[in-house]
Amino acid sequence: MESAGGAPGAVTPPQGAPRRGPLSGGARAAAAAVPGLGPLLRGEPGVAAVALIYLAAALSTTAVGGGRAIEAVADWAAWGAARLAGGTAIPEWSRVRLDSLVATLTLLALYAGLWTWAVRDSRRDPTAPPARDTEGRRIWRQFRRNPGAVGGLVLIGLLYLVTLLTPLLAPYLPEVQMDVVANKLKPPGSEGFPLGTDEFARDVLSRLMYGARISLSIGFIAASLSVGLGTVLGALAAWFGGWVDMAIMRFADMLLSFPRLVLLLFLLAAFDTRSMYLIVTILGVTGWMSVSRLVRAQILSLREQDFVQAARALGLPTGRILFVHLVPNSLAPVIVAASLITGHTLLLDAGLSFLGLGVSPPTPTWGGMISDGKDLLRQAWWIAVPPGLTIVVAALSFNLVGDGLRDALDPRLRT
Amino acid sequence: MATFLLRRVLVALPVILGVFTVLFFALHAMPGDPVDTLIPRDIPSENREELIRNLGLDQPLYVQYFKTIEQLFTLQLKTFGTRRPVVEVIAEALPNTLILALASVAIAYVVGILLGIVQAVRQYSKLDTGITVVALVFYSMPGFWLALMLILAFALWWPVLPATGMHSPGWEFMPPAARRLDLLRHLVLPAATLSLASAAGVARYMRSSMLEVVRQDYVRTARAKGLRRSKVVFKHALRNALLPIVTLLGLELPALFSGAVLVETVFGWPGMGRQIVGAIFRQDFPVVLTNTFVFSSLVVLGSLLADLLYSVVDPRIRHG
Amino acid sequence: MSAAPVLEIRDLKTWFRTDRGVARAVDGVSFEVLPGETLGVVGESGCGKSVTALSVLGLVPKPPGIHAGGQILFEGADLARLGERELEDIRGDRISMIFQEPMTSLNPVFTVGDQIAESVVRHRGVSRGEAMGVAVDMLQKVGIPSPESRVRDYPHQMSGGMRQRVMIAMALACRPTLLVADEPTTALDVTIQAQILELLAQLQRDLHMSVLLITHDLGVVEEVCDRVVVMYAGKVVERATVDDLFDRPLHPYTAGLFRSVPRATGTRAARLEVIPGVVPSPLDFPTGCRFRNRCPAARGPCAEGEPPLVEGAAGHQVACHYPEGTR
Ligand SMILES: Nc1ncnc2c1ncn2[C@@H]1O[C@H](COP(=O)(O)OP(=O)(O)OP(=O)(O)O)[C@@H](O)[C@H]1O
Ligand SMILES: [Mg+2]
Repeated sequence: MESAGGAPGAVTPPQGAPRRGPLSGGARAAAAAVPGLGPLLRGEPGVAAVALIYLAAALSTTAVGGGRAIEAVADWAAWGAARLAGGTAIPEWSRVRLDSLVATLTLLALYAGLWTWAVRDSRRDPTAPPARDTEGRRIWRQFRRNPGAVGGLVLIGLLYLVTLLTPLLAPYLPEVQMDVVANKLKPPGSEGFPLGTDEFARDVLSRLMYGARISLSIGFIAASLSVGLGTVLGALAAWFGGWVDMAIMRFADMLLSFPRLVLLLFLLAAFDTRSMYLIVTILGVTGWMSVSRLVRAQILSLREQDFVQAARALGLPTGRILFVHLVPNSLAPVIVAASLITGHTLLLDAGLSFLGLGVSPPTPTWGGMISDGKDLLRQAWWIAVPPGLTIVVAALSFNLVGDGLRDALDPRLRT
Repeated sequence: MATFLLRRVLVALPVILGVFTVLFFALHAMPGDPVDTLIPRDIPSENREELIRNLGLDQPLYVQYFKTIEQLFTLQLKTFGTRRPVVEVIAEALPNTLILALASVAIAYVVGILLGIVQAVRQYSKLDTGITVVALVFYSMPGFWLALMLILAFALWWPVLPATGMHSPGWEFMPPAARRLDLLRHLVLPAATLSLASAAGVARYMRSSMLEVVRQDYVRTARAKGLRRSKVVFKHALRNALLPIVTLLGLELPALFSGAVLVETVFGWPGMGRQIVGAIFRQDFPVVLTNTFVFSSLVVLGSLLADLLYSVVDPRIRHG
Repeated sequence: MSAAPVLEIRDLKTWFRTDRGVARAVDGVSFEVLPGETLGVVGESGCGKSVTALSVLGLVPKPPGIHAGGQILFEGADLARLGERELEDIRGDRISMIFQEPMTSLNPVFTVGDQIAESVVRHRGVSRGEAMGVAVDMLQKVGIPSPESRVRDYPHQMSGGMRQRVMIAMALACRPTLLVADEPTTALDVTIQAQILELLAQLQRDLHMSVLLITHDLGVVEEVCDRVVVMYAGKVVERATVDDLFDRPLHPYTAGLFRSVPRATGTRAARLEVIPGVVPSPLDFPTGCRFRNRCPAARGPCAEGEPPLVEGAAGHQVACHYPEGTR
């Protein structure tokens, strides 16, 4: 539960605000009982806000989907009991209910994370001198000063949380079509359809939430693939030089000199049905060029430094020097790039779906929903508008985090 | 300088040819048969084979490859569907794409540079923060969605501009001035869409470039001479801050064409982007290949122009 | 003390607001520059020499810089109180400055002629053509061969020494009354250094201007200065004529500086000493005398009061509780 454990504790108090000492007695107990109360009592409203946002997310999910969570757990428990008694059949509800089970576990983990954090935070002494000052801590401290970047991180946490909790939250399954005649193109605020329905009488809110899973997963996984590939190729190019370098970098130039969207259209148009995995792979292998350039440049400059020369003199094997010593040292800008690339990949994937070359319908994706709504703009703007907004929010969050990281890593901006 | 440009062209040629080659073989290696998109499957097989022969698809792949190249350079290439010369088809679309692209680049760079300067001069002010946030929002926005929103706002809800196409019906009969105005009105929304995200990127870049330059010793020297602040900013700092922006211009062209593909599709703008999307779906290989060839050539040409521009702005390049 | 001073700095304080607190880079500096003289300012790196110089021209970046007190009197006006526009009128016209780094102090994208002429156009209101003529004259004056063609050169086409000559030409194009030179020769090699100093001295005589010469080279001070101000940790610790100072330094810091410099004139190589410790951070100066934690002569009272700048001998001021020779 990285999102629950990682995001609270994110904002420093305003500069110059008097730091209060550790909480004691009743205040401490109360702070341990209510996540977010501790920072509030100590005068750290930013941290408190983050904790309270996540608490609110957990509570509202419980309120909306608690019933479904209990149902899912009960069904699986019954199935487990039957299985122990000798039954083997996998129930036909398993796909949906497995989803719900994962969501339920996520919710429980969120609660556990929140309260573990609250208890530990209630004992924190803000006036205590900070522990050993590592590079990581310095970067984190700098990052926390940037409200935009912290906001982006909190939003990313929430978005991914939603993708996991969706089965508990979404009113319907995304493919479910209501009685079309009665329910198609209902405007937002209609009874039972908070964001309205599309022309097949599917609930826009549900599709939006399930679409988040596909779109955000594609963005994240494809970007990771690009970054991984770029790191390896850049490292190889820098280390071996000569024709290896030449071949890799020329190939990168070639890909860069060509409109990427056209290339993607090209590759994807050949497939009749396109799974998420196909999209992820193709986005991944066409997006590594900037990272490889970055890593190559970093390693070329690092290679001449003393610690590498020493490692070579010691006769360490090349692969080891490269991936144990050099790559980690050039990681900082790569992480920044990863964040920015994720945002960019989200946009690109949406563009593909819009042109009808994303994940095949009826799987909901944000880009696909915009495409569905584009011809109905006049009658039903509510189909195309919300998914665009969520794309903006997601891409913006990644860009904010990427910018914040870059600033935090820039020693010239260090204070 | 001339030798430098010549060297650039010589380096670029293999890249263009490489793109072309990779795409050619990729097209033929992909599953799916272009003939299927041309005629129904239940057509008698001798007719089908005749068509395959006509299109040259029966030949060994390498023969097709060299033939295609030959026809490409002798302008003999014909589309699969209508058998019109591809040059003709592309000649219809290219100017339209250029109009859109040039308008967008011009708007994006003028607006982006101005905003970047304002931000750098007023660093950390409310204005600076505001522009940063707005720019980042546009930077994070899918262009095609922005296009739809603009259509929604300015063509549907408040119908002041046309939503699609390049011309109003009956434009052929308009007097020249009205025609130009008509084109301009059709250009506003697509160009705005394409330039907004791009302007946001330029502004971000310009701001940091400007802030970097303002720290330089020679800016302090300029101030020590007693020059007015406006002169320091707009002469001494600006000229240097523009250098990386010029490089950006060369690098951004492929992204601009990517954007054009989507924007032309949304607005029904009869340009190369829309054409290539259609051709990809129809598996019309000659159109796809020629289109990509023209795309890559334009990219190379654009970055050459950027290099030329750079040497105009930076005397260190000009005087070796 | 016959003529009125050209520039008089009284208790100047220029501080910087940083995230870790207020850096008191210049913290109560007083001295004056007399007509036609060369006043040297010496001190270790970071003691506030450049910030003092920049304060005079109003070039301290604000923020983070703040004017925390004191006056800078020049031609009857307090420069510290003038607005940016009025300062712009003075800069490059009646007060000019040259910087340490000739390689980066010229704008790479304009010709040197353009950069010199700009200043003339700005302050003299002449046409560009006339200003270019002045630029050629100035290049000639600073000893650049074939100035008519060199005006059209870009900085990257010139060597470091030539660029510094261009900087001098630019600074003197409007015949200022005061030239502030912040380590003008530090970045150059030794033979060029001597030429540039010689050029400066000659131009100073020709133009009857005063020079505020910042340096940490005591050899240069002895060579070209009339009087010297010694700075330490944002303060003036000693002020005297060159002869007095070199004959009999009163402040232990000045004495330490002398002992740490190899003297080419000495008959035998005296053992070089370094002043122990480092310059304190302007964020956190020691109480009392700021030099006491490095001072060989420090005693109890040094921790209490900051020593004021007082007359230690005729025309020779020192800020020390126990000046040399009194112990
Ligand atoms: N813009 C600034 N922000 C914060 N602190 C500054 C700034 N400029 C200068 N300082 C601080 O002011 C102090 C004095 O700096 P200054 O440049 O005047 O030293 P200096 O005597 O000229 O040294 P050097 O011989 O190295 O040139 C230094 O400690 C420096 O860190
Ligand atoms: Mg200095």
